[in-house]
Amino acid sequence: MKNKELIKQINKLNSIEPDLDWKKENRDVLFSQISNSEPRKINIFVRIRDFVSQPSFALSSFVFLLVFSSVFGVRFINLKPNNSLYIARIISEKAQLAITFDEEKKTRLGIKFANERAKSIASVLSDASYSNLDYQEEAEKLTDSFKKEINTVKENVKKIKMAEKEDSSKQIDSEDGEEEVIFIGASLRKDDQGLEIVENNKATSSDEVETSQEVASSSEEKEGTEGGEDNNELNKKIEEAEVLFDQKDYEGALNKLNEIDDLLESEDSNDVDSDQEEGATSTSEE
Amino acid sequence: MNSSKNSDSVSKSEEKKIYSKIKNRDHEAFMKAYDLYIDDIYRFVYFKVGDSEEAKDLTSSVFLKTWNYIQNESVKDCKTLRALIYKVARNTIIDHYRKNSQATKVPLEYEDGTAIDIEDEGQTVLEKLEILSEYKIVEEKIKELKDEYREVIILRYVNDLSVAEISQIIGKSKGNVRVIISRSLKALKNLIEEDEK
Repeated sequence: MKNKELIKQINKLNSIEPDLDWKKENRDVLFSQISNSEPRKINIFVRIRDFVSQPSFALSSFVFLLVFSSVFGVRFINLKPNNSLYIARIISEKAQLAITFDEEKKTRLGIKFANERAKSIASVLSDASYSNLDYQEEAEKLTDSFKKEINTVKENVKKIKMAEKEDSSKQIDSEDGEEEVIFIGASLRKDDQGLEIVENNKATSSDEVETSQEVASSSEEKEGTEGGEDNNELNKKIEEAEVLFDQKDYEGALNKLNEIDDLLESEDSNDVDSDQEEGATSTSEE
Repeated sequence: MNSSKNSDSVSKSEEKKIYSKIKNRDHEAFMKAYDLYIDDIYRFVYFKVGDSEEAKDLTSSVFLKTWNYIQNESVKDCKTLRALIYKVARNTIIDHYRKNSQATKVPLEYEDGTAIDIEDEGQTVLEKLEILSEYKIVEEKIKELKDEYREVIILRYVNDLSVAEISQIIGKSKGNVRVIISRSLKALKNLIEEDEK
């Protein structure tokens, strides 16, 4: 006998049912039994447990914490990795990053947070108790975390460098485009002469383009040099901090990270100043 | 495969709704569950104990126990209402066995004691007898299987439960359940083929 046939035979046993009268009678009896049964005692702890274990509660708590920390600027920056509330700091940082839409600002904020976390780790490890064998495993984990944070800082610094380069090259392209439009527009009003004019203009415009490119490249070099210097300085300090950390000179590493902080702050304030200058210039031109 | 009549007509989301209503002491919801699962549970118990009167008594107690377990929040590991009721049924039968300490090998039959009849006027008497005897053979041989095999065959092929549900009820992994199903079919086939020789 094949399995299919066998299963077919077994399926037929499905026809076995209790009689209708018994079902109805039993139904009535059951209904009266459950109606007369005592209401369950409310166990407040079970209720709380059930309420808290719902996914909706977890999600709404998370969203509340996110909004609270970002709206009210609650900063958990002083919480260290060995603190049980350290996770609140991480959540707060992520919330701030989530509401920062400008990519560059986001990257800079990322650098700042990673640097702060690296400082916290260095500060925890500088505690003498962590040299104890009992804490060796934890110290190793913190060391790994420190390296990750430092890598994050390096990558974000790279990102900013790349972004700055792209911005300056885009600026040149857009200027060229505008000039060409003007020339072509002018030539359309002429007939035969127009072609000559276009050619001449093109020649002129190409010269001017070249000139503007030279100017742009020289200014880019200047900016690049200035930005490059800052970034080089930053990278240098990051490397030094890493070396000191590897040498277990946690105080030294902490000082270097503080210097990185200062450098970042000075860059931020330079940006603000240059923005303000541009604003002043445009107003005066109007 | 034949589907269990009432219990398959309710979707998973509807079943969840009924379950949560029952947790809030909704009597009507519980009676709806009774209507949905009474046939399946009765059939399950009946094949386990082999006697219709005992099956009725046990089935009644299964539903009352289920109500009490839900209200007292004694059940934590059952995802669906159906799985819960089956689990309660199994435990009730185990308790019954312990009390009575009897083997359960009783010929299967309809409630009024008549044999299962398959109507087909186009068949000759001989053909009918042949079909009936095949059917009877399956019935007889199922009761000769060991309890674990009998259980999964009833759950899977008579009451049409899924492997996932069966694994929840009997407390074994899905893989394990599939293996048991395969072995039980093989065992039943062997019993039938031996009989034919």
